[in-house]
Amino acid sequence: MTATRSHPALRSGRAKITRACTLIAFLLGCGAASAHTEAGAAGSGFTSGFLHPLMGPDHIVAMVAVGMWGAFLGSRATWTLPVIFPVVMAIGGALGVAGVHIPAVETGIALSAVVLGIVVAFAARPPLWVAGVIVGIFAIFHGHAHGTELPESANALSFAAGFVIATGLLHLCGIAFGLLVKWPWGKWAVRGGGAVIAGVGVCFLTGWL
Amino acid sequence: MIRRRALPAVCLLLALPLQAQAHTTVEGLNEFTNGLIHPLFTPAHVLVLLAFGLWTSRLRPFNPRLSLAGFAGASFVGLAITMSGKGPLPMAVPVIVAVVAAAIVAADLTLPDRALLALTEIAGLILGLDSPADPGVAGFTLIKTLLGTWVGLIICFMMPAYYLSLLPERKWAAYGVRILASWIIAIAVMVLALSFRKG
Repeated sequence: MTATRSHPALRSGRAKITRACTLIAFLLGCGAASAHTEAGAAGSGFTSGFLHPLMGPDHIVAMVAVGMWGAFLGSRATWTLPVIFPVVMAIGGALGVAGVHIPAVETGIALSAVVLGIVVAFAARPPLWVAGVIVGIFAIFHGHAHGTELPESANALSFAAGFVIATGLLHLCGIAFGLLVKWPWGKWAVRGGGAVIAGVGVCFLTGWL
Repeated sequence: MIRRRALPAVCLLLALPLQAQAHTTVEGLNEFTNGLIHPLFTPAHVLVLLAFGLWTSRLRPFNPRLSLAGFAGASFVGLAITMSGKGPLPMAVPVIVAVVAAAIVAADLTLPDRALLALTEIAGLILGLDSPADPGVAGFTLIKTLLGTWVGLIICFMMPAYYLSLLPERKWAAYGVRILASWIIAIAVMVLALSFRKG
C-alpha cells in the first residue's frame, strides 16, 4: 500500500513540472490578443510609445546590455543603473523634443552598444558612480533620438508611459539574463552575450546593419 | 522673499499650454460611479497616486494613517472649491507633484512626517481642484459626482500603498519600488517636454 505512494518531495517536484509544462503550453498556445481596442486618453499613443524603443535594434541591444552590466556589477548596481537610465534618458528626450542639437547622436547610440558590450564581455567592475556616469551619458543619446522622432499626434502621457515601460522591460530582460552570473557557466554565457552585443554595435557603427 | 521668487515659477506653471482634463463620463454609469472611476481615467492623476502610493508603502513601520488623513482632507477641500467653478488645473501641476514624490522615492530619501503630510496635502488639494464635474452639472448630481470622485481618489491613493507594503523586506523589493519611481519621473519629464512642444 505504502509502496504505491510517492515521496512528498517527489510529489512536489512533479507538481512543479506540471505547473511549468502548463505555463509553457499556455505561452506557446496563445494567439494574438484582440479584446480591447485603444480609446480615450489612456490608450492612444501607448502602443506607439511602447513599440518605439522596440523598433530600433541598436536601442534594444544597448538597453539589454545596461541590465546585464548591472547584474555583473553586483546587487546594488543591478538596480541602480535601471533607476538612473530612464531618468537621464527622459532628460535627453526632453532635449530632443525641445530641438536642442546634440552632435553624432546615432554614432553615440551605436557606440553605447559597443562600449556596454565590451564592459560586459570583459566583466569590467568600475566603481558604481563611474558606471552610472557612463550609462547616463549614453542614456542622453538614446533619449535624444527618441525625443526627436516622437510623432506629433501622440498623446503625451500615454506615449511616454509606453516608451518608458518598454525601456524598463528591456533592462529587466538584461538583468534576468545577467543574473546567470551566479553560476560559473552563466558567467561565460553573459560575457559571451556582451561580446555579441559589442559585435552588433560595431556593425551599427560601421553601417553594416 | 521666497514668495517673490516663487511667483515667476507659479506664473510659468499656469501659463503652460497643457491640456486640462475634466471628468470622463462613461455612459450607463450613475454619477457616483462615474466620479469613482474618474482618477483612473486621468493619467496625470494616476501618476500622482502611484508616486504617493510608492512613497507611503516604503514607510517603516507601515503607517498610512497620517498621509491618508492629509490626502483625504485636502482632496475634499479641493473638490469643494471646484463647486464654485474653479478648476481644472493645467496638467503640468499634478505631473510636477508626481515628479517630486517619485524623486523622493527613487533617491531613497527619508523625510520627516511633517514633509510627508505637507506633500500629501498639496497632492490631495491639487487632485481635488483638478477634478471638477462637467459644466452644467449641479445640485444633488454634482454632489454625488464629487463624492464619488473623493472616494475614488482615496481608494486609488491607498491601494498601491497597501499592496506595495505587502512586498517582502528584501533588497529586490526596495529597488523595484525605486525603479518604478524612476519610471514615473521619466514619464513625467517626457510629458512636460512634449506638452511644451505642442504648445
